[in-house]
Amino acid sequence: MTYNNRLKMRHRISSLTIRFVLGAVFIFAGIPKIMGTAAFAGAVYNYQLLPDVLINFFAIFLPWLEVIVGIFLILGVWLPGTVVIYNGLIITFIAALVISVHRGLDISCGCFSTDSTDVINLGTILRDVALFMASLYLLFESSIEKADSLKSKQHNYLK
Amino acid sequence: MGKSILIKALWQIPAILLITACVALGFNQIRNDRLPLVCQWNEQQPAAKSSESSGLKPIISIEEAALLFKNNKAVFLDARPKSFYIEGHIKGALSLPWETAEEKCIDVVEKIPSDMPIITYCDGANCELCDKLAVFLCDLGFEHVSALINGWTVWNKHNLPVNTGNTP
Repeated sequence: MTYNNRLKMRHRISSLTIRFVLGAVFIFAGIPKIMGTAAFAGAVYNYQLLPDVLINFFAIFLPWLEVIVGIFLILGVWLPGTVVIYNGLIITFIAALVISVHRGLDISCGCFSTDSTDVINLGTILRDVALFMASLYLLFESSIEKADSLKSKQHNYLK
Repeated sequence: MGKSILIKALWQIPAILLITACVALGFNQIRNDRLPLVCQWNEQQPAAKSSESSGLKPIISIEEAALLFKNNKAVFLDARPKSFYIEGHIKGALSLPWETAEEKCIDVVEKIPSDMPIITYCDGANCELCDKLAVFLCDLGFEHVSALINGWTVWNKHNLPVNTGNTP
Protein backbone atom coordinates (compact mmCIF):
# COMPACT_ATOMS: atom_id res chain seq x y z
CA MET A 1 0.00 0.00 0.00
CA THR A 2 1.43 3.40 -0.97
CA TYR A 3 1.86 6.26 1.51
CA ASN A 4 -0.98 8.13 -0.19
CA ASN A 5 -3.35 5.17 0.07
CA ARG A 6 -2.42 4.60 3.71
CA LEU A 7 -3.27 8.23 4.47
CA LYS A 8 -6.56 7.98 2.64
CA MET A 9 -7.45 4.78 4.46
CA ARG A 10 -6.53 6.34 7.82
CA HIS A 11 -8.77 9.33 7.17
CA ARG A 12 -11.59 7.14 5.89
CA ILE A 13 -11.55 4.96 9.02
CA SER A 14 -11.37 7.89 11.45
CA SER A 15 -14.07 9.73 9.51
CA LEU A 16 -16.37 6.68 9.50
CA THR A 17 -15.84 6.10 13.23
CA ILE A 18 -16.54 9.74 14.09
CA ARG A 19 -19.60 9.81 11.83
CA PHE A 20 -20.98 6.66 13.46
CA VAL A 21 -20.36 7.90 17.03
CA LEU A 22 -21.70 11.43 16.40
CA GLY A 23 -24.71 10.07 14.52
CA ALA A 24 -25.51 7.59 17.30
CA VAL A 25 -25.21 10.35 19.92
CA PHE A 26 -27.80 12.48 18.10
CA ILE A 27 -30.17 9.54 17.51
CA PHE A 28 -30.04 8.53 21.19
CA ALA A 29 -30.47 12.17 22.21
CA GLY A 30 -33.45 12.71 19.92
CA ILE A 31 -35.58 9.61 20.57
CA PRO A 32 -36.44 10.27 24.28
CA LYS A 33 -37.40 13.84 23.35
CA ILE A 34 -39.71 12.60 20.58
CA MET A 35 -41.35 10.23 23.08
CA GLY A 36 -41.73 13.00 25.69
CA THR A 37 -42.27 16.12 23.59
CA ALA A 38 -44.38 17.85 26.26
CA ALA A 39 -41.68 17.45 28.93
CA PHE A 40 -39.04 18.59 26.43
CA ALA A 41 -41.12 21.69 25.68
CA GLY A 42 -40.97 22.44 29.42
CA ALA A 43 -37.18 22.04 29.37
CA VAL A 44 -36.94 24.38 26.35
CA TYR A 45 -39.14 26.94 28.10
CA ASN A 46 -36.95 26.85 31.21
CA TYR A 47 -33.94 27.98 29.18
CA GLN A 48 -35.82 31.29 28.71
CA LEU A 49 -34.18 31.86 25.36
CA LEU A 50 -37.07 31.48 22.92
CA PRO A 51 -40.30 33.46 22.60
CA ASP A 52 -43.40 31.52 23.77
CA VAL A 53 -44.83 31.06 20.29
CA LEU A 54 -41.74 29.17 19.14
CA ILE A 55 -41.32 26.83 22.13
CA ASN A 56 -43.71 24.06 21.07
CA PHE A 57 -42.63 24.14 17.42
CA PHE A 58 -38.99 23.97 18.51
CA ALA A 59 -39.76 21.05 20.89
CA ILE A 60 -41.51 19.18 18.05
CA PHE A 61 -38.90 20.01 15.38
CA LEU A 62 -35.52 19.74 17.15
CA PRO A 63 -35.65 16.07 18.28
CA TRP A 64 -36.53 14.97 14.73
CA LEU A 65 -33.74 17.11 13.32
CA GLU A 66 -31.32 15.36 15.68
CA VAL A 67 -32.56 11.91 14.65
CA ILE A 68 -32.59 12.64 10.90
CA VAL A 69 -29.17 14.32 10.97
CA GLY A 70 -27.88 11.36 13.03
CA ILE A 71 -29.22 8.82 10.51
CA PHE A 72 -27.90 10.82 7.53
CA LEU A 73 -24.49 11.11 9.18
CA ILE A 74 -24.23 7.35 9.74
CA LEU A 75 -25.52 6.44 6.28
CA GLY A 76 -23.44 9.15 4.59
CA VAL A 77 -26.46 10.85 2.99
CA TRP A 78 -25.98 14.48 1.88
CA LEU A 79 -22.85 14.69 4.01
CA PRO A 80 -21.82 18.32 3.36
CA GLY A 81 -25.23 19.65 4.41
CA THR A 82 -25.59 17.17 7.28
CA VAL A 83 -22.18 18.04 8.73
CA VAL A 84 -22.86 21.78 8.53
CA ILE A 85 -26.21 21.34 10.35
CA TYR A 86 -24.54 19.10 12.96
CA ASN A 87 -21.92 21.77 13.68
CA GLY A 88 -24.58 24.48 13.78
CA LEU A 89 -26.66 22.51 16.27
CA ILE A 90 -23.71 21.76 18.54
CA ILE A 91 -22.66 25.44 18.52
CA THR A 92 -26.26 26.43 19.39
CA PHE A 93 -26.38 23.87 22.23
CA ILE A 94 -23.07 25.09 23.67
CA ALA A 95 -24.21 28.73 23.46
CA ALA A 96 -27.53 27.91 25.20
CA LEU A 97 -25.75 25.98 27.97
CA VAL A 98 -23.09 28.68 28.51
CA ILE A 99 -25.73 31.43 28.70
CA SER A 100 -27.85 29.40 31.14
CA VAL A 101 -24.91 28.49 33.40
CA HIS A 102 -23.78 32.14 33.30
CA ARG A 103 -27.28 33.23 34.32
CA GLY A 104 -27.12 30.76 37.22
CA LEU A 105 -30.17 28.79 36.05
CA ASP A 106 -30.64 25.48 37.88
CA ILE A 107 -32.58 23.72 35.12
CA SER A 108 -32.82 20.37 33.38
CA CYS A 109 -30.43 20.04 30.43
CA GLY A 110 -32.94 18.27 28.16
CA CYS A 111 -29.88 16.98 26.30
CA PHE A 112 -30.25 13.19 26.31
CA SER A 113 -33.55 12.83 28.16
CA THR A 114 -36.40 14.87 29.54
CA ASP A 115 -35.49 13.76 33.08
CA SER A 116 -35.50 16.70 35.47
CA THR A 117 -32.47 15.30 37.34
CA ASP A 118 -30.21 15.87 34.29
CA VAL A 119 -29.22 19.40 35.28
CA ILE A 120 -26.94 21.73 33.31
CA ASN A 121 -23.41 22.24 34.59
CA LEU A 122 -19.82 22.58 33.39
CA GLY A 123 -19.78 18.85 32.58
CA THR A 124 -22.62 19.17 30.08
CA ILE A 125 -20.81 22.07 28.37
CA LEU A 126 -17.54 20.10 28.17
CA ARG A 127 -19.43 17.11 26.74
CA ASP A 128 -20.81 19.30 23.96
CA VAL A 129 -17.40 20.88 23.35
CA ALA A 130 -15.95 17.37 22.86
CA LEU A 131 -18.72 16.61 20.34
CA PHE A 132 -17.99 19.94 18.63
CA MET A 133 -14.30 19.05 18.25
CA ALA A 134 -15.24 15.78 16.57
CA SER A 135 -17.81 17.43 14.29
CA LEU A 136 -15.28 20.12 13.34
CA TYR A 137 -12.99 17.32 12.16
CA LEU A 138 -15.74 16.15 9.81
CA LEU A 139 -16.30 19.70 8.58
CA PHE A 140 -12.66 20.21 7.66
CA GLU A 141 -11.99 16.61 6.69
CA SER A 142 -12.11 17.34 2.99
CA SER A 143 -9.46 20.06 3.25
CA ILE A 144 -7.32 17.83 5.48
CA GLU A 145 -7.57 15.07 2.89
CA LYS A 146 -6.57 17.53 0.16
CA ALA A 147 -3.57 18.73 2.16
CA ASP A 148 -2.52 15.17 2.92
CA SER A 149 -2.79 14.10 -0.68
CA LEU A 150 -0.60 17.08 -1.66
CA LYS A 151 1.88 16.12 1.04
CA SER A 152 1.97 12.53 -0.17
CA LYS A 153 2.61 13.71 -3.73
CA GLN A 154 5.61 15.73 -2.45
CA HIS A 155 6.74 12.70 -0.45
CA ASN A 156 6.61 10.45 -3.53
CA TYR A 157 8.38 13.10 -5.62
CA LEU A 158 11.28 13.42 -3.13
CA LYS A 159 11.80 9.65 -2.93
CA MET B 1 -14.51 22.92 2.65
CA GLY B 2 -14.11 22.93 -1.12
CA LYS B 3 -16.25 25.14 -3.34
CA SER B 4 -18.23 22.23 -4.80
CA ILE B 5 -18.89 20.88 -1.29
CA LEU B 6 -20.08 24.31 -0.16
CA ILE B 7 -22.51 24.50 -3.10
CA LYS B 8 -23.83 21.03 -2.23
CA ALA B 9 -24.26 22.09 1.40
CA LEU B 10 -26.21 25.18 0.33
CA TRP B 11 -29.05 23.16 -1.21
CA GLN B 12 -28.80 20.20 1.16
CA ILE B 13 -29.31 22.28 4.33
CA PRO B 14 -32.77 23.65 3.39
CA ALA B 15 -33.71 20.22 1.99
CA ILE B 16 -32.84 18.50 5.29
CA LEU B 17 -34.71 21.17 7.29
CA LEU B 18 -37.76 20.80 5.04
CA ILE B 19 -37.78 16.99 5.32
CA THR B 20 -37.43 17.29 9.11
CA ALA B 21 -40.29 19.80 9.36
CA CYS B 22 -42.59 17.50 7.34
CA VAL B 23 -41.70 14.41 9.41
CA ALA B 24 -41.88 16.22 12.77
CA LEU B 25 -45.18 17.99 12.11
CA GLY B 26 -46.69 14.91 10.48
CA PHE B 27 -45.74 12.69 13.40
CA ASN B 28 -47.05 15.27 15.88
CA GLN B 29 -50.40 15.33 14.07
CA ILE B 30 -50.93 11.56 14.22
CA ARG B 31 -49.74 10.95 17.80
CA ASN B 32 -52.31 10.64 20.58
CA ASP B 33 -50.65 13.17 22.90
CA ARG B 34 -50.33 15.80 20.18
CA LEU B 35 -48.58 18.98 21.26
CA PRO B 36 -50.29 22.18 20.07
CA LEU B 37 -48.01 24.07 17.67
CA VAL B 38 -48.44 27.29 19.60
CA CYS B 39 -49.09 27.25 23.33
CA GLN B 40 -49.01 30.45 25.37
CA TRP B 41 -46.58 29.55 28.11
CA ASN B 42 -48.07 31.49 30.99
CA GLU B 43 -45.26 33.90 31.90
CA GLN B 44 -45.69 35.84 28.67
CA GLN B 45 -49.42 36.33 29.03
CA PRO B 46 -50.68 39.70 30.21
CA ALA B 47 -53.25 38.00 32.45
CA ALA B 48 -50.56 35.96 34.12
CA LYS B 49 -48.29 38.96 34.48
CA SER B 50 -50.92 40.89 36.31
CA SER B 51 -51.88 38.01 38.59
CA GLU B 52 -50.14 37.14 41.82
CA SER B 53 -48.87 33.94 40.27
CA SER B 54 -46.98 35.61 37.45
CA GLY B 55 -43.87 33.61 38.33
CA LEU B 56 -45.61 30.31 37.63
CA LYS B 57 -43.49 28.11 35.32
CA PRO B 58 -44.61 25.16 33.21
CA ILE B 59 -42.39 22.94 35.34
CA ILE B 60 -42.82 24.05 38.93
CA SER B 61 -40.46 23.27 41.81
CA ILE B 62 -41.67 21.63 45.01
CA GLU B 63 -40.84 24.78 46.98
CA GLU B 64 -43.01 26.97 44.74
CA ALA B 65 -45.81 24.38 44.74
CA ALA B 66 -45.69 24.10 48.54
CA LEU B 67 -45.88 27.89 48.88
CA LEU B 68 -48.93 28.08 46.61
CA PHE B 69 -50.51 25.18 48.54
CA LYS B 70 -49.85 26.92 51.86
CA ASN B 71 -51.44 30.16 50.63
CA ASN B 72 -54.30 28.23 49.00
CA LYS B 73 -53.37 29.84 45.68
CA ALA B 74 -53.44 26.77 43.43
CA VAL B 75 -55.51 23.70 42.61
CA PHE B 76 -53.66 20.40 42.39
CA LEU B 77 -54.73 17.84 39.79
CA ASP B 78 -53.68 14.21 40.22
CA ALA B 79 -52.94 12.77 36.76
CA ARG B 80 -52.37 9.20 38.04
CA PRO B 81 -54.97 6.42 37.72
CA LYS B 82 -57.83 6.70 40.22
CA SER B 83 -56.60 3.71 42.32
CA PHE B 84 -53.36 5.57 43.11
CA TYR B 85 -55.35 8.68 44.04
CA ILE B 86 -57.45 6.65 46.50
CA GLU B 87 -54.27 5.14 48.04
CA GLY B 88 -52.99 8.64 48.74
CA HIS B 89 -52.88 12.10 47.19
CA ILE B 90 -51.91 15.70 47.90
CA LYS B 91 -54.44 17.14 50.34
CA GLY B 92 -57.14 19.00 48.43
CA ALA B 93 -56.06 17.61 45.05
CA LEU B 94 -58.67 16.63 42.50
CA SER B 95 -58.37 13.40 40.54
CA LEU B 96 -58.13 13.72 36.76
CA PRO B 97 -56.40 10.59 35.43
CA TRP B 98 -54.72 11.24 32.09
CA GLU B 99 -56.41 8.18 30.51
CA THR B 100 -59.86 9.64 31.14
CA ALA B 101 -58.94 13.32 30.94
CA GLU B 102 -60.98 13.99 27.79
CA GLU B 103 -64.23 12.54 29.22
CA LYS B 104 -63.91 13.77 32.77
CA CYS B 105 -62.19 17.14 32.35
CA ILE B 106 -65.48 19.07 32.21
CA ASP B 107 -66.65 17.68 35.58
CA VAL B 108 -63.31 18.53 37.17
CA VAL B 109 -62.60 21.93 35.64
CA GLU B 110 -66.08 23.11 36.64
CA LYS B 111 -64.85 23.05 40.23
CA ILE B 112 -61.81 25.22 39.49
CA PRO B 113 -62.09 29.04 39.45
CA SER B 114 -60.94 30.29 36.04
CA ASP B 115 -58.15 32.49 37.42
CA MET B 116 -56.81 29.84 39.82
CA PRO B 117 -53.40 28.37 38.89
CA ILE B 118 -53.46 24.62 38.26
CA ILE B 119 -50.63 22.29 39.22
CA THR B 120 -50.67 18.80 37.73
CA TYR B 121 -48.67 15.96 39.24
CA CYS B 122 -48.04 12.25 38.97
CA ASP B 123 -45.27 10.03 40.36
CA GLY B 124 -41.76 9.11 39.20
CA ALA B 125 -39.10 11.33 37.64
CA ASN B 126 -39.92 9.95 34.18
CA CYS B 127 -43.70 10.11 34.60
CA GLU B 128 -45.14 12.17 31.77
CA LEU B 129 -48.80 12.04 32.79
CA CYS B 130 -48.64 15.43 34.50
CA ASP B 131 -46.88 17.03 31.50
CA LYS B 132 -49.47 15.60 29.13
CA LEU B 133 -52.30 16.76 31.35
CA ALA B 134 -50.75 20.23 31.67
CA VAL B 135 -50.43 20.55 27.88
CA PHE B 136 -53.99 19.23 27.45
CA LEU B 137 -55.33 21.88 29.85
CA CYS B 138 -53.19 24.52 28.17
CA ASP B 139 -54.73 23.44 24.87
CA LEU B 140 -58.19 23.82 26.42
CA GLY B 141 -57.41 27.43 27.18
CA PHE B 142 -56.25 27.34 30.80
CA GLU B 143 -53.59 29.97 31.24
CA HIS B 144 -51.93 29.13 34.54
CA VAL B 145 -50.96 25.48 34.31
CA SER B 146 -47.78 23.95 35.72
CA ALA B 147 -46.52 20.41 36.15
CA LEU B 148 -44.86 19.19 39.35
CA ILE B 149 -42.42 16.52 38.16
CA ASN B 150 -42.27 13.40 40.36
CA GLY B 151 -44.93 15.23 42.39
CA TRP B 152 -46.24 12.53 44.72
CA THR B 153 -42.76 11.37 45.79
CA VAL B 154 -41.30 14.85 46.36
CA TRP B 155 -44.47 15.97 48.17
CA ASN B 156 -44.07 13.08 50.62
CA LYS B 157 -40.33 13.71 50.95
CA HIS B 158 -41.13 17.24 52.12
CA ASN B 159 -43.72 15.90 54.60
CA LEU B 160 -46.45 18.07 53.13
CA PRO B 161 -50.15 17.38 53.86
CA VAL B 162 -51.72 14.36 52.15
CA ASN B 163 -55.07 12.63 52.18
CA THR B 164 -56.38 9.16 51.31
CA GLY B 165 -59.64 7.90 49.83
CA ASN B 166 -61.94 9.45 47.29
CA THR B 167 -62.28 12.86 48.96
CA PRO B 168 -59.90 15.72 48.13
